[in-house]
Amino acid sequence: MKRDAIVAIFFLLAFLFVSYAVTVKNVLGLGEAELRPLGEFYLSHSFAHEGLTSHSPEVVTAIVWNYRGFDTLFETFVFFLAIMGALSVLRLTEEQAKIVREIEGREPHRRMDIIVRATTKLVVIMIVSISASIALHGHITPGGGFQGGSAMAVAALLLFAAFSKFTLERKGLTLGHTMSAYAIGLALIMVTVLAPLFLYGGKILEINLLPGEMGLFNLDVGEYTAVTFGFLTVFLILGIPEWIFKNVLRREMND
Amino acid sequence: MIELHLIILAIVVSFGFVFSYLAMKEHDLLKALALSSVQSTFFALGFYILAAPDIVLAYLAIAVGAYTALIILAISKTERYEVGE
Amino acid sequence: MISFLLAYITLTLFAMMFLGIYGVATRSNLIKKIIMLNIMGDAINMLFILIGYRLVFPVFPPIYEKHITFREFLSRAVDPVPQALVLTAVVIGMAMNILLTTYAIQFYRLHGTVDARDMAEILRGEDG
Repeated sequence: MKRDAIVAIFFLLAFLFVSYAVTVKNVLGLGEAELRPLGEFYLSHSFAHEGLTSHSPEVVTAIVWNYRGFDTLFETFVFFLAIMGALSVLRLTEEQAKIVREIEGREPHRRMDIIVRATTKLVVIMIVSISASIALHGHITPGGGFQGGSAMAVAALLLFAAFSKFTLERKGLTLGHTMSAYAIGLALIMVTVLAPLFLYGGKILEINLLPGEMGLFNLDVGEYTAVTFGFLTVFLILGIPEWIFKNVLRREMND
Repeated sequence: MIELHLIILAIVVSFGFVFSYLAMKEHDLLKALALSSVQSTFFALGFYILAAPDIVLAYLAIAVGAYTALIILAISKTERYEVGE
Repeated sequence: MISFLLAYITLTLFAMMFLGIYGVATRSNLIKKIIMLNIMGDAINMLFILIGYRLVFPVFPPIYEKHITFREFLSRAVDPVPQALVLTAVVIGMAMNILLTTYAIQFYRLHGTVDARDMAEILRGEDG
């Protein structure tokens, strides 16, 4: 308790220092009506007809995938590494996965009542179509790959809660399939990033060389697939109930 | 008229602060999670006021949907109550 | 009035950020630490977006539309750079949450606790 008080006092001092810097000295530069030069450059060039343009009225997507493309490319890799790190801790061997499927098959078939199921079907169709529209129009209206992908992950979670992980797996949404789809999304991103280098003799990520709006569109679709199935992979493997997992571990120890 | 935006933003941020303080004081983790997602909802409104539609679309889906589901799964696999001092 | 409101908003966000760090430092449950870490991240993201805000009315999001002229768009749209940075930060924050939660669950499976104080004792016992 005494240690908590000391920590609180130090934090209060730090807060006082920060509030002096922000209010009196205005180090953040808040409350201005003028744009910063960098922001003005992006706003004026993103939809211009010539020069350093990216042919996109949506300035945020233009920055994310064109002006600061390397940043986002490596963020995608960080996302990939985090998902793979989680998966390498949680994954089961093939025999263990078989035992899990066996135990799950013996479980009585539990489901929500018909009102919940019917409503969920309707809502999920809506969310999927909205997320597709967010992602595919990402270079024209607000949205893009990240936003669409996270909305789609919510749709999958709703299905998860109203039906079960088990029902989804019987319909074909197994771990192997989601991971393959994740790989396809990443492959689409890599192909679009490398295409200017091999087809048009440009540099990596110089997507302005691609015809029309193909560069931004492809990257958005790739990110959409990658984020959706990346989240879904983790939720599928986290959705195994804990007692089944303990059963599997105990069986390992007895062998 | 820009004052109106800032007043709404100030209210939203104050509510966010109150709910995050309650979340810190709560010993039941599920309740703490619910309080922190109320705070997330207020912050999504704040992002809308700050003219950032892209952030709203990503933040609502992640902070209210996926993150809450993830922590609920984690709580169901570990312990529900935080052990006090 | 405007400067008072701006200072109030900024200081509340900073207070929330310090509240988050305080929670991470003093709570001992790992899941609770993750929740507090997220509150801190939210406050920082909001602060970032607030830096890009402009005090003009009406203020436009950084998306060009046909029915406004280009000059008007330039004089009214907010700064898009912080938005682009925060957008990736939100998604990467979620990926980091997944990783942290996974490790907490795995620690619970191996040692039967998610309390940081017990954790320290277990690790000390393994050393000696």
